[in-house]
Amino acid sequence: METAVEHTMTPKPDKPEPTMWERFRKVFKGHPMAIAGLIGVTLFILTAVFAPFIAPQNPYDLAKLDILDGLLPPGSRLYDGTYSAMGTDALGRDILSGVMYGLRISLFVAFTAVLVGSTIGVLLGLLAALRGGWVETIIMRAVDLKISFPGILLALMLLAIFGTGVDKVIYALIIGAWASKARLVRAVALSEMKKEYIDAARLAGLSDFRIMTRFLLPNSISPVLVVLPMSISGAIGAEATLSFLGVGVPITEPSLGLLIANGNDYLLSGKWWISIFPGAVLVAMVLCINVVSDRLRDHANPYLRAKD
Amino acid sequence: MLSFVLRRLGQSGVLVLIMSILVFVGMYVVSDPVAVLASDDFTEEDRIALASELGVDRPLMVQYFSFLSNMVRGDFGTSFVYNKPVLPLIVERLPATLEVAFLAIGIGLCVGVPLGIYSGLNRKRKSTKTISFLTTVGYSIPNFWQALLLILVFAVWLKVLPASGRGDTTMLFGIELSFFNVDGLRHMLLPAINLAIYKICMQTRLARSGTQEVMFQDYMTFARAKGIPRPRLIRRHLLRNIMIPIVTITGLELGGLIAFSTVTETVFSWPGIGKLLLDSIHHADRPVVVAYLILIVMMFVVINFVVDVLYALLDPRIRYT
Amino acid sequence: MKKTLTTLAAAAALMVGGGAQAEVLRMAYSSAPRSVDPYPFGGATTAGYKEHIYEALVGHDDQPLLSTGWTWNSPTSLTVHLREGVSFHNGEPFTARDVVYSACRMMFKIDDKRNLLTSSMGPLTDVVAEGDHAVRFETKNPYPLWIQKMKFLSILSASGGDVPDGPITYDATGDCGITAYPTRDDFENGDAAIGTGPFKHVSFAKEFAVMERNDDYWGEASKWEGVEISSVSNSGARFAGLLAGDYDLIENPTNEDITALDGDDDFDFSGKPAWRTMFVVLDVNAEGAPGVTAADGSAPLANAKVRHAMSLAINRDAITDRLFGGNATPANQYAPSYRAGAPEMPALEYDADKAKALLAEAGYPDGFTLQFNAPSDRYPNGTRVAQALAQYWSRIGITVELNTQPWSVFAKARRAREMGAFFYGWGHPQGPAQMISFAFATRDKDLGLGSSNYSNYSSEAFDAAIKAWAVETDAAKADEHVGNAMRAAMADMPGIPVYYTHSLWAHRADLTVDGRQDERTSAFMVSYK
Repeated sequence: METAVEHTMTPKPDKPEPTMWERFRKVFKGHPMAIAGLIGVTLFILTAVFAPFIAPQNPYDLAKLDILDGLLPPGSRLYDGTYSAMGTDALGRDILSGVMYGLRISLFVAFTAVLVGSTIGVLLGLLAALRGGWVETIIMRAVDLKISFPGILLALMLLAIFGTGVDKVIYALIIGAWASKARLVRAVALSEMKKEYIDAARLAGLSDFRIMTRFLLPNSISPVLVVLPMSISGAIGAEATLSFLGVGVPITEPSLGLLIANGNDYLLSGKWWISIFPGAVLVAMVLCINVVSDRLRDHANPYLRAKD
Repeated sequence: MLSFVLRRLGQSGVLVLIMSILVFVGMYVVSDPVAVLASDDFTEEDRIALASELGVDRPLMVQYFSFLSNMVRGDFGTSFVYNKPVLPLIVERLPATLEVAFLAIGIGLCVGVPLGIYSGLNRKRKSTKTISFLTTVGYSIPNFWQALLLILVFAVWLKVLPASGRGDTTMLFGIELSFFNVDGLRHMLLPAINLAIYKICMQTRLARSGTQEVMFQDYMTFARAKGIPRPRLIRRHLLRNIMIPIVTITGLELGGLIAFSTVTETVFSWPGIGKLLLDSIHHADRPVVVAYLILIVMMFVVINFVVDVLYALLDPRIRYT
Repeated sequence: MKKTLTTLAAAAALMVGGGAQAEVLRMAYSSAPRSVDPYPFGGATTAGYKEHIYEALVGHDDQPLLSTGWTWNSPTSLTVHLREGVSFHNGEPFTARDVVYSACRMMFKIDDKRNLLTSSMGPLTDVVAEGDHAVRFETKNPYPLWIQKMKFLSILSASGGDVPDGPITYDATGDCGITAYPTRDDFENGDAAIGTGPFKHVSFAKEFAVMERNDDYWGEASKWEGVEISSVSNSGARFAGLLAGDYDLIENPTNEDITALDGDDDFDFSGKPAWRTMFVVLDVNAEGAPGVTAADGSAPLANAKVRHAMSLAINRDAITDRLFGGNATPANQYAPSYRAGAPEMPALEYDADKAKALLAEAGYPDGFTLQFNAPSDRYPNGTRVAQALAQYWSRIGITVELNTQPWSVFAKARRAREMGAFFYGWGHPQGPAQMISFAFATRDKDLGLGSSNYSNYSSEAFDAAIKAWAVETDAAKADEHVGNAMRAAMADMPGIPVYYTHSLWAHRADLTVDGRQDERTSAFMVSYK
């Protein structure tokens, strides 16, 4: 029964479906900035994934670091002969290696937190719109509560109860990410709910769950997708701020944000490399993500596509 | 409408209760006021006596209910750290925070909205690409790092603005204000810019996407076809339509700035409530943190309430909840 | 007033180029003084601020200040001879009555809350005026430490409260028959902020304090016409404020920032070895320590060889050299070796191979797992030192999990004894035995020993020496007991001393700073070159 319905609903293709590659090319063709961004994103992800194989040093292995190698300017050699292109921090940590490993942590933390947080937020927002009544009240007041609760106190609570760790930072950021998405999706879904097709689906006897997943979700998700890259930049920044406040990732496994926060202490004394390199990489990465996502969004926007 | 208001009022009461429980439990988990306040030369007997004077030797439930019964009578308690009533402690720091928050929001709107409209109208220009690039950069630099870079450039290298503190203030109706005082304004500028950069980037993006959408609406095409001159078109039709989401978001952002400008106020040593909150969390000063967050949750309830009413007025299809 | 002083300062700053000298000293503290009332709060910045206005019988350098000397009548009775010819800011002469009044005020609970400094009153039982210029202090037990503790008893004028005529009778509740004490507001608006110090209170509000010179000061009057104290907790902003010309002097610049002043014509820095020992507390409990695990289930930290191996593994010179640029001193005992009364001790050795061998000898050739805790926002360079220590220990085979957390969380875990090994700093304003008597003695309620013994250390030899010290009023003999106690503790090593901190000040190049060792900052130590 179900497959039959789906079959009849699938439009008959009058020309062969474009392959993934063709669609992909169509999106990026003629947009050099977007292509550059795409290459950048790919490089950053590859660097993050293969950091242990390409980094000159394992910056997380304390036994390998030596404070006698501390604060060397870019282009120096460490005691063991390793070439340090970006210099070292006070503990003898090679900044280049630190940046490569830091990328891993920052990307992992931000993507995980935003994806999980947004999923939860979208589902709760839809639920609020669909059910209304006390369900909506509880969800929306929880949003109010979350927005009024300082992230630093939340992070401190997680730290005091569970100890330090990358996973605790992710939990804190997930709790930070869901509320705005829930609010957004509910607003969009509420106006979708007034449209005829939902009434039709209700009359056809479809369950709330099916209405939510089949109709409401696809039609309400686009604003969330639009803010997603901003959310990822925001999460990277939030993680950096938590590290700056001393409640972020473990100090022996610095993320990009923690590297910047550490380097902050040296900025006024002219040892710029400790914070500027990680900072520049962070900005470059966020830029690439944004350029690519802007292109995808413009492409998805029918008005703009018509003008292209 | 009246029942809507009453219901919201009841809900916010519940919200305040939940918040107070959360903060009570949170601060209990995070810190021990005796451990923070007692110096190393306290004997164990001194510490026990201190705990009983602060009232933190009682079971948490007992502490909570005595807090509740006091709060109902309007007494938010006494700061562990300053041994002063909590409410005046917060209120005397409020003007400093409000001033910077309004200045930052003002800068954000005045710079961000025109940039956004320009970008929306001139999608293909080089300058638009530059604006988009800059807003992304501004958005992605962590706030604390931005603050120190600002200090480095404007206070240390150029020596044109002071690095920290509030400077001279003018008394107006018994409130200390920096706005009407050159020295005060100079001190306010760097923290305000630090907060505003993020807002500028956001307002630009909001205004740009709003402009793009509105420009393709039928009524705009129609208006253009009718030959309405461009400045009038922008003023009368475009601005009006994009301002609704911008004003809504600005309200919420203002709330956020008032409540949690902690990092900026700390780096610039701006004596506002955000710094007070961070210091109080770190000094285990639970009475201040509880009172502060109860006030903040009430503020957000009011803001959200206003936003919802505005929505309802603008779009009669949305029901009251 | 605030305005005029600022204007003065601005004008003066402008004149500096012309060779004239500024009259108002603008200092930036690293945290805000908490009250004008001298008793409710301790802490270096509150103490540093209030010393401008109030003085005590004993000065920060352990020498007589508002006194001229003292005599022990018996081990539980001390007579202090007061300085004559001293008057308060309001013109009232300073007499023994003011000392009794101040002791009462210290003990009095405001709003049922004790003054945090009350703990420094120890086992004091009576304070009696003997004529106008001598005061007798009586204690429950022999209490030689009272000489040091008198530093905390700032002297207020009895005219500040509602005191009935006639002599004041001291009692431990601080009631003393006094009708009313001044309130917090009385202090903040200056009515009750009456001391004998070289500066007078002008204003104090929200992290900004202003004072003016006391022209009738009994000693040498200050060269500074006034003092302004700002509080800037962020070290970067504080340093930038100095460079931008907002302040003449800042305390606690970071070790990183002062390297920027090398060869600078306009700014300079000064340092002074301070009375603070940074050390690692190890829980030597034979049952095992939280966060410390060995493959065979034993308690590694209970073994003195392990503790010595951990000490041998640390290159203290590299830490003080590289992380502090020489502005820290490698430690060789628990009290700073330069603190008066500290015994002569040999330097602590660094030998990683020997450490490894010793660890193997103790039965841990493959090391063990150690959770090492450090506060993230408490000590200058603290988290970097903690990482360096973790580096050294991991090189001799110990698996170190470094756990840094904000001070509030750390302090709670410490008090709850949830940490088997942690990094800590202890100040020694009250002499070289203060820390070990709290941190390593078996608990003794009457003598006030062992209250902070988080090492769970207990040694008969050490306890005997420290108990002898606690009741010895003869200074030379007391030093001997301290030496014995220190040697006993160092042999067992329930904690590993790492370095002694130095206090730093960054300031305009035309100023000289004669720094203090008790981590406080005051205008008296600053003068023109």
